[in-house]
Amino acid sequence: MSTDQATIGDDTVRPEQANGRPVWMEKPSLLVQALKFIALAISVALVIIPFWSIIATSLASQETINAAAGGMVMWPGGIDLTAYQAVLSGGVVTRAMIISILITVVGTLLSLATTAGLAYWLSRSGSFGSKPMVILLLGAVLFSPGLIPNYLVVKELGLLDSYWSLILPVMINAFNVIVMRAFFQELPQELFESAAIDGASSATILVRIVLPLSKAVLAVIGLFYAVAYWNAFFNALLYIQTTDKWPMALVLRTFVVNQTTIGGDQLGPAEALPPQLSLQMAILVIAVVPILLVYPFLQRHFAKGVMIGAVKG
Amino acid sequence: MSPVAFTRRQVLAGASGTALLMGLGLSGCSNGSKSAETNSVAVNNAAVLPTYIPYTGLEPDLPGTEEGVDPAFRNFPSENPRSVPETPGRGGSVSGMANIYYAVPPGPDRNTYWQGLNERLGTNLELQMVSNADYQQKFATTIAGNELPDMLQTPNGSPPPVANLPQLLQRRFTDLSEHLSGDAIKDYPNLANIPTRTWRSSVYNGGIYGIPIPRGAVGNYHFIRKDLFDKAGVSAEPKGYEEFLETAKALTDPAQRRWAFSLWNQPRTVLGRMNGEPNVWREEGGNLTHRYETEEYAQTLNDMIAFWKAGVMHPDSFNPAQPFKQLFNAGTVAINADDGYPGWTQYILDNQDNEEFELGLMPVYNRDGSDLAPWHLGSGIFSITMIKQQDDPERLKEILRVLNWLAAPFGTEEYLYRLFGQEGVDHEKDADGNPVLTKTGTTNTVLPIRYLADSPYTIYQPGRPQDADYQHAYQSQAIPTGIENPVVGLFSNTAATDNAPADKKFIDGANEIVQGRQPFSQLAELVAAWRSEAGDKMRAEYQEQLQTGAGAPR
Repeated sequence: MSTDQATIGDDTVRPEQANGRPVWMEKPSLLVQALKFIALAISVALVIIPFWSIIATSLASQETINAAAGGMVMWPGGIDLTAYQAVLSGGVVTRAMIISILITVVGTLLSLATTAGLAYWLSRSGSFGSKPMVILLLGAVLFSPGLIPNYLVVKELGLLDSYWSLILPVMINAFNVIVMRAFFQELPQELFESAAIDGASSATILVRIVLPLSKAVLAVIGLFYAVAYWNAFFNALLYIQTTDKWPMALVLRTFVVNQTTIGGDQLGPAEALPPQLSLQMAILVIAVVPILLVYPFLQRHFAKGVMIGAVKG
Repeated sequence: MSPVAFTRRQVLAGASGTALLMGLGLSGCSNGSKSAETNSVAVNNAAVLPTYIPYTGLEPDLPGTEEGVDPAFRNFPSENPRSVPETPGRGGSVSGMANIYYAVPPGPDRNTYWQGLNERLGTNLELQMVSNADYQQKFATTIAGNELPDMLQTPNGSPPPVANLPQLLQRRFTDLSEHLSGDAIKDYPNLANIPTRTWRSSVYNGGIYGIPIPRGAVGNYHFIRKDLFDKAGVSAEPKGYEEFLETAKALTDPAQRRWAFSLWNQPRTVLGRMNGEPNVWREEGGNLTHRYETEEYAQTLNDMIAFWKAGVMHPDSFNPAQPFKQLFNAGTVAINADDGYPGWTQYILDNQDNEEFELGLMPVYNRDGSDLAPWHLGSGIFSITMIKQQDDPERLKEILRVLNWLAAPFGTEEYLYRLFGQEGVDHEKDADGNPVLTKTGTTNTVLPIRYLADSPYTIYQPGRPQDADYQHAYQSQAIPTGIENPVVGLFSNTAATDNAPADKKFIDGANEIVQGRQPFSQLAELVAAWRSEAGDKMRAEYQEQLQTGAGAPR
């Protein structure tokens, strides 16, 4: 502490509160704290209230919904599980849920394995044919082949009415490969070199070094894939003919009748539909719950993972 | 990441292979203009429609009329005669695809109703069910992939919204004339029970190319909440424009969240009839004028501006996703004027615990209130069921026999099973002998077989015999004043393809005018745009068929 300059950075000369905080970290006044609390509470409420309303409506009876002028309710006024019973009775939904879980698990694992493998190949500069492949991938991001060509491919491969039609055509997502490739490229190349000197093959490097270092990106891409498999109804609609093989997203969709005008000539005699709103909300809850259950375990990686590619592509 | 985006981004389908397949796919549907002529010249006149032989096994409480009033039953008949003496199938399987408005039922191995149906049909019925919202896309891919079931329902609409339908029918589906024309239909008595009016919509290329799913001539009902009318102290039969507007005002009280109408098309439909608009098209000497081009339409639009200004429409009236049925059930709106007539059953069911709820139907008078306004009749069909080309003529007959079974008329033994399943399992009988679905029945009986073949509509409301009289009286009042849409039964490719977006653009523009965002003078431009985008082509296509006497025989 011989010179003035040395003391500038010294904590001891800073003006300081009694509680040990520097001045710019001073404990805020009660008013400011209250305002902050209100602001945060409003933000949280904006997120929570729709969810709450969905759950409340799914539990509400038709009378309660009528009393709310046909809209969403905030307070179910008693628990009415009719909507859930309607959805879960008959065993169709439970069966479809098992199918969906299997497709999601198998599909996600296959997708991750193939995506990681492809991304690793493309991330190593100088590997055979990687440049044209990257261009092809970018092409696949920009141009989609369209509905009917896809259908014809699936049909010609003999996959119609097979569970594989829900996995194989969507197993590799070009965008995800590019994100993962960017992540792999950021890994220090020295690690690969030292492993190679120790005699590791490319496969060993991928499994023993690259993948353990890439948990964040695997978690995020895995979640992307899983959510997509879980929610996908459209490919099942096209490719799966036996209703017993339908995944849950498609089964649940049949519960939700298009709310726009059912025209003059539509429903047949003696046809009537169950009360719609609570049923739809129950479906929403059922469809969202599995993903909500998985999400907290991946959340840690999520914020980090989605940044990949944001600054380096 | 939407599921659709997920399916699109596919890597392995390489660009060149895709192009090749696309070529194949399209060549399947676009079969030059040559065969188009076979539909648009006089050949269709040569088609002889099936003889109409009404079913006489059961006497309705209130008879139907030739004009199109539906027969009515107050209670479900206690005697249920069999209309098909022999088992229609011969063992094997018959496949079909149709849309479904319900949650899918369990598969045949876990569905006693389905098993029983297969037994009665004498065939293994393989059904593909597709939610109505997705049906059109599934239909398109099924056609393009040429993976056709034996029986295929066209998407709902008249004409069916399928591009190049006549060519498609000719190449892939069966001309049924030999089996159904004239008296040949006597082999299939339940199909002969479908009114002639309805068969017109299944004539293409000079032949009968499908079984129509019949619907009542009345088309729509103007539903009202009679209890809310009474509470407001207004008549449920407003006569003329002024009284209609006053009634709407009396029913409206925004402070209590009450309005007369939920959606813009509700007052529009009533006002259109009041002003004497054509039923979509007006024909004079073989020339067609569309509703949008008429003076009457301009008058209706003017009236709509007045209604919107008067505040009698729900503030969210221009949102097509407005849950109008729920608003009606909740008593938020009192008039639901543009809804299908089978909605009656739905509203009664939705409100069976609501003691105040009283459903009514509103007649429409002309503008000065002197007389009933002409009723706009419905197209009479939901869809048509096409039959895949079969190698074996015996198999074709088997399929027709299955469809004949499925078209069993109201009250027959087959009808009872088709809609309500097995007594004691799928339904129980109430004190008046009306079948009431059990929980099992509600889940199991919703197979969309009623979209493969169906009997003509019959008025019947379980447990409410008075409803049969009420609806029958309303139809008897409305239908004699009815005017037909002159193009029903004709096919316009533009109507099946380009009209939907052009029409939406027109309606969006017209709604802007109603809301005062655009001047009224904008209407002329909207009509011109609609005409150039779809209207004129559609007119030309229809007129050609009308003038050459093509299309179905009248």
